Amino acid sequence: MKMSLILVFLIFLISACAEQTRKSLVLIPIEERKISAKIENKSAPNNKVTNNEQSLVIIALLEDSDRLSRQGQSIKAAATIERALRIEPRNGLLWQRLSKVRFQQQQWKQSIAMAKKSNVLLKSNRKMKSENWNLIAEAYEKLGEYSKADEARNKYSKQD
Amino acid sequence: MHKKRKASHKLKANLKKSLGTFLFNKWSFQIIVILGCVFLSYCVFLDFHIRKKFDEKRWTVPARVYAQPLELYAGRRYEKGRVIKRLKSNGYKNVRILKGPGQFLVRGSTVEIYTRQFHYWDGIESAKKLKIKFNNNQVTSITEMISSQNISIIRLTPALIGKIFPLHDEDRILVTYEEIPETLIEALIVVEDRHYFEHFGLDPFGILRAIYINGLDGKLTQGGSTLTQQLIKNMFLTRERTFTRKINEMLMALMLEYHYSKEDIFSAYVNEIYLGQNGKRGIHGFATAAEFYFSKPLNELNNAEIALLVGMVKGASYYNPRKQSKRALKRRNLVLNLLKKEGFINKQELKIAISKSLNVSDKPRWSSAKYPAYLDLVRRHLKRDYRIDDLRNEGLIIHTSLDIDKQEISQHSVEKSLSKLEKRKGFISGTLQAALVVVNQHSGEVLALIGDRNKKKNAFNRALDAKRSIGSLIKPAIYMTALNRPAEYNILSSLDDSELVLKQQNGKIWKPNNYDKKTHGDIPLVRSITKSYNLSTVRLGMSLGLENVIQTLKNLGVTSPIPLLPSILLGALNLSPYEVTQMYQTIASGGLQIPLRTIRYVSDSNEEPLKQYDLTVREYIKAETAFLMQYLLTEVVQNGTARRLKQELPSLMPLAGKTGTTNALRDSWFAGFGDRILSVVWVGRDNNSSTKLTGSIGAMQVWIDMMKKIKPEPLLLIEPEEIEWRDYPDMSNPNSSCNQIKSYPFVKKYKANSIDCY
Repeated sequence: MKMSLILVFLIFLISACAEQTRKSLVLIPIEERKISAKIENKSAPNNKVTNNEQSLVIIALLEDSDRLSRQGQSIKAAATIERALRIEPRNGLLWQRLSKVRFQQQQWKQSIAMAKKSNVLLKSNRKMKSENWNLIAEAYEKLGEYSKADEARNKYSKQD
Repeated sequence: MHKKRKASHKLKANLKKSLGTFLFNKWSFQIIVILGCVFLSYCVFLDFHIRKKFDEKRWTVPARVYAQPLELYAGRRYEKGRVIKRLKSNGYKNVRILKGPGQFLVRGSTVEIYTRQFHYWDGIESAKKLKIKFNNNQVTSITEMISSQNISIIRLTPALIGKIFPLHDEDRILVTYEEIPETLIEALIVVEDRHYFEHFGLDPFGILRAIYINGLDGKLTQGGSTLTQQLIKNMFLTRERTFTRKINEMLMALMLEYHYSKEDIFSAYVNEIYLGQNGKRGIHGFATAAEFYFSKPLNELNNAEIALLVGMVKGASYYNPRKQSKRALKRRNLVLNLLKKEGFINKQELKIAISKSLNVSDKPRWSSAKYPAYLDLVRRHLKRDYRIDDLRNEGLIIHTSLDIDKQEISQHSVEKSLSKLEKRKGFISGTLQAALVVVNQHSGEVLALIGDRNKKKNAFNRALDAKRSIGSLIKPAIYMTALNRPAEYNILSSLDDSELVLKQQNGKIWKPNNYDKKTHGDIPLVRSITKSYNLSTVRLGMSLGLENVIQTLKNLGVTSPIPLLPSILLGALNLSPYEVTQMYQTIASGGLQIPLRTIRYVSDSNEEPLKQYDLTVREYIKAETAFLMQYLLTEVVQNGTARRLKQELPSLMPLAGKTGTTNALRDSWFAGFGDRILSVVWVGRDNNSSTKLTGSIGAMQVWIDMMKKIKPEPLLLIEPEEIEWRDYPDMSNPNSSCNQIKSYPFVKKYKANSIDCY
């Protein structure tokens, strides 16, 4: 009985001292973290998988990438293309897709280098190669390197 | 008179007594008031302290580092046995019937897996029941068993390879109240605190029961502490048994209960309680303990496993199931019986649970000691973007490109080959050292890294920190500088391999020599590199200009300072194996320099993506120049210093490679690549004394041993459109006749001048 009285007294004391609000234990408040890296979702190209010569797994991954692009998740779309590239690193279509994503992300130099890589791998596919040269030309223009852009356009017209 | 005096005395005495009582009462009141104020102030202080600490409480959670997931798809060459090994090492149980995630079974050439759910960068991959068929060590189909639909590609949960721990060495995985299995809640209530959801922090009946039982036993066998008190004790107080501590504990328990909900306190308890020790690190919380003792997530524990962990709350080391299995089993069964008695499990469930062995995994799945050199590199990469406190405390999830198969094969090859080499050369066992880097040259991802022949040691990470002369591994940079001038040089250009004397800037005379101590007169460029002739290379380098060679080295990705000295032309340049790998990556990927990387992405503790580490490329080397160099490096394997590779790995040809040996045979190097794998190996001694090994005998032996198991795909030489092939007499091999015709690659626009057959 005494014990209960003491407890009641203590609770009374504490309640007198304490703030009246009930708070929840927050395990880790993410929003308070000072981690600089953040994700930005930028708009992404709305590409369709058209090349039927790709292996099934590559087609499936490209479809995933397209879906992510349509949802505006260009970073995830690019990550999915990278996943496909780990399986087929010498697939010119994949390098072209990545080049297009980088173009969308305004990474002009990346886009140029990847389109060139795609061209090396797309030995006889003139249509896709001309697409790459066009992409390269546009990226050079964005960089203000007009003579290189013209050079790329010449190659583009030759492919056609 | 006497009576009067007596009465007067009595009156005085009474007065004195009354006054004394009055004075005493007055003082005692004041004392009580003062003591009350002190106590009140103390309570205010304690309350403030506990709320502040609880509100600010951030459980420091170590960063968790994962290897790359195993990706399977129809057509992938991957043995069934290796899949099973990977599943087992990830804590999957081999069962007869798939009942839940984390289980698999094998039927002939088929493996059925109930995968675990996992958060990847591009979304959640939910748990699935899969049937994977194999034929001739190749995956032929993957079917989702419930829908019978074919699946094009799956990822198996990646292995946890390490953690970056808080400074006070606590290990912890956090769970929310909703994530706590019901049986765990019931077992904790039954065993530790029956009235948890009714009491207010203290359990008077529990205390009375403890006093009664302790009185009967004559020992302190029963504790009357509630879960709240235990939590307070774990979080704020010491383990000493004093009256003051007990009072503090009781007061704080009351305060905590007043301010926070039962669910909040319960989940805090589940995350905080101490459940063992992993070396110097404490195992805190049930989720960490589930991983530590059973290699699986908390939600996959069965009744017996939960009962064992709950039983361990009483004394984690006393009931340590790895050391005190009998004692732990007895305690587990006691908990199970209590669960049955309270009706939380039925008779059948009790029977099944009791029949089970402790089922504790041999050792923790994660161990920073397992791949220490690789984790060291991951840490270095992470430090570029994250504060060390965030890495240690914020529970970041780090996904890397570590390929466990390749890492283990590499480690094994290093150990085996070095022992063999030591035996052959008569060295004391353990005196040779090695470092090795394996990368995918097209993505720049580091797949394996060895910094010491002893896999558990990483005091000195040789792959990153041992900067040694690279010898002939530098030569491709010189030849690429030449081939980048197609109007002047092609791969059949004539080079002069005659005696050479150079006066250096410091006035000293430098007289380089060939390894065979001979001169070879005029030779084609292709032979100069395949035979790794020094004289012709130095002459070529000097005519190209040292600054231009240095620029090529930088374009290839070398960032260390390079001295402007002719001796660099023979590799008097100290680089780490990692930096050499970057250099060869640029060649192997066709001229695109891709910064080497280990991290694919980082997520926060709630699996929310924070940062993706994209594939980035740098275009400093022309594709045609890189192609010509790739071709020349295949010639080194076909006809040159690395031709033993062709003899030992005939089915994998063509491969490309370059050997490197330094003065007095101090360093033995080999860099080689196939279609999607590049590896650089260094063998040497820490005291820089002679290894008595050339590049082709020492480092290349390690490379061969490794590639026999990895089986890289042959190098696919895809020439850029600027390249064309022309027929010329075979000049790669000095033994070939000039009548033998061979196709050589040239840059289209530039016709080779008249080429003599040497």
